[in-house]
Amino acid sequence: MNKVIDKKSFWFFLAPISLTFIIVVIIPFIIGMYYSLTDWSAIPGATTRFIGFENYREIFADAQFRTSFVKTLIYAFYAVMLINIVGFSLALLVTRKLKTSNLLRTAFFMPNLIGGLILGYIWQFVFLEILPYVSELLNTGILGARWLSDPDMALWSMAIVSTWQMGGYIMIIYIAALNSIPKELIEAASLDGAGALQKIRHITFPMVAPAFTVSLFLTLSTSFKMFDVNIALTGGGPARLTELLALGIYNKAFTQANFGEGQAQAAIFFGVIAITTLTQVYFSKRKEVEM
Amino acid sequence: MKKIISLVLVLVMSMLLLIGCQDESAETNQPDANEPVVEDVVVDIFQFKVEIVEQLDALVDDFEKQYPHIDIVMDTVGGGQDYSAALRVRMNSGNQPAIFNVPGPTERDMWREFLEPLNDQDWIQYAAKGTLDNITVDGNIYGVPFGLEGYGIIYNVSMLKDAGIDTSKIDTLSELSEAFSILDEKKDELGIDVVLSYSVGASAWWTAAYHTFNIPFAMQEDPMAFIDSLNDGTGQIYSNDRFEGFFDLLDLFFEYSYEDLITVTYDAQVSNFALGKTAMLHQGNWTIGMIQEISPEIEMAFLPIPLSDNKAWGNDSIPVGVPNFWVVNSQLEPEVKEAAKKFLNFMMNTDRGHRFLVEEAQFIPAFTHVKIQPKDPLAKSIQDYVYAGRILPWVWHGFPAGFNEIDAKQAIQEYYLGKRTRSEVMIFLDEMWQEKK
Repeated sequence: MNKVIDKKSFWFFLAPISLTFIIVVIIPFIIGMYYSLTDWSAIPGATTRFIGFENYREIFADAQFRTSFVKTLIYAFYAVMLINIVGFSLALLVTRKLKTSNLLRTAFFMPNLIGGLILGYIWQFVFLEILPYVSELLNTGILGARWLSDPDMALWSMAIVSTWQMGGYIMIIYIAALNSIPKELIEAASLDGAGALQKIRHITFPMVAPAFTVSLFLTLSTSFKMFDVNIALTGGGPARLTELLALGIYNKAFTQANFGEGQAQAAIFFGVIAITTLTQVYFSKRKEVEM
Repeated sequence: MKKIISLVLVLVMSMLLLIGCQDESAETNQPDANEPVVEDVVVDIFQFKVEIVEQLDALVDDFEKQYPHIDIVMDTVGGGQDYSAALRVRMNSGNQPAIFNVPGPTERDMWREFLEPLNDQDWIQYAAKGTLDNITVDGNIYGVPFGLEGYGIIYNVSMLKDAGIDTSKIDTLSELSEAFSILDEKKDELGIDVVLSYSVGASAWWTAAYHTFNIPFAMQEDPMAFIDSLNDGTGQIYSNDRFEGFFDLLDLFFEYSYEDLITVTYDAQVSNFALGKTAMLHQGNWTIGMIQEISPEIEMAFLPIPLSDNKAWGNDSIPVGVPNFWVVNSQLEPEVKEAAKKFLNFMMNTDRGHRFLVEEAQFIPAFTHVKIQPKDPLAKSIQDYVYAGRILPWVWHGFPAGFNEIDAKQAIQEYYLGKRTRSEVMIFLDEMWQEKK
């Protein structure tokens, strides 16, 4: 009897979320896959023709799609590195017994509460007005670089902004992992005469490996899907050289009114993200140690 | 105990939800005692011009006072944001606007099914000649022009006088180039940073990718025929003499404008001119509000944008056109369409509406029965060009969707960065046109 009720309540509590998931994720996904095989124009009432894999063929002939693809890979590399290094360092910093560590945690996490679009505009101002001004004051060249008008610098700029935004979030994950390391291990190592770096390398790293898996997965997938900071900070410029895949899909679909091809790009995009992140999780998982 | 508390909380929250719903329905069902018995109508407006939002709100207030049963809900997406993309989303959202904007033939044909003919509106006969061409199909007039707008090289009158430049003589590229170099020499005297305020990127990308890019098309002997020839593959941009002139012009602009043109925002572009940091500004009369806010007394007028020294090209003219049309959504209920037409009538056919058009929104009226004359110097300058017949058309509304935003912008930026040469850029533009037409 109890079992029946358990089962019933299981489905009862699962229903709202699974229903929402089906309505806003699964069904649009299936419809999208269908649209990627058509010449859909997004004008209500207009006829939509089924054209098979024509859209996919177009993509492979599209030079801009290749550019966007390469730029996305480069950007993801920059961003994943920066975010994780900064996030982990911040976590190490605030798990020390500092008086201000609680305040610092809040401060580092704050930028994550601001939306990417707003961050993009704020940082545009920082890159265009404040940094050149400061560099003039200090008489250094590096801050006054052409942050947003040089294509390579613009990618770095985007990575810096995302680090500022996501670093705090990733820091929280690392803090949780660092706090769960048993004190005995560290104490024992200290007694054996291990230095700070040795402790980090041989105890901290292996023990927080599960957190690395999660953080790498999160940063990798958000970096691939980067859209808001991209459109607000560089708009894909100069000359579409910082137009990452998500913005490219948006432009193809909405600006050029080619929704079918945009949808097909999105399908490929989905495949790429799925494969990359799953591979990453598979390999990171193998590095984790069980207690 | 905990269970009971959470149960109570859940109950209270669901009650709140229900009460919320009930309240709203009660409100809409009970008409105000003062209101006439006419059924309430909501007219959604979805428009693109961010510069006139406040003025339009004031007009809507006065309109709603006169027609209390009509509720106007206005949404604005524009000013660097992509209006046509937002419109598509809105049309698919199930809450279609009753009044929206269509800029020209490409979009007109796209939304044809949604356009209500406005031939029966009596004020439509007063529209100035040619202003309805882009919105008329088979004798059906589908939209109302916002007004006329023009752009060119805005110059600071007193500054050019100080530099001893006779602006009436500038109607060729070499004369413009000479004026630029004179101003450049007297930079310190005049207190300017650079001669021309220009941009090819950031939030002002459109000043190059739409407005400058329009000139070589508009100066063709028959611009529409040239676009048709690009569409059917008989014509090409490559080796066209007007486009050679276009790149000569860009070279000149690049030489006498800011060091880094990719990151000049719209605000910076306009305000630098208004603050007297530049002698000239490549923009249109819509910047008047912003300029006068910064320096109300500045004297300004337009110079043409010449591509060569050839008099036959129209190098002494400035491009004047209808930026956008108000259209009524034909797919909605008759009473909503009726109310929407009433609003357009209020705007185009009453003194209050005319005051809005000319004085508040600072449009140059496209209707001849509007008696109020524009006062601002830029509108006056454009009217001088119109009266003298020295005007070029705006032709980008006939380009493939996204050609300006994506391809022309990319091409100009690549040329600016030196990533492609002149002829490579022209070949690129031809390829992109063929792909998207």
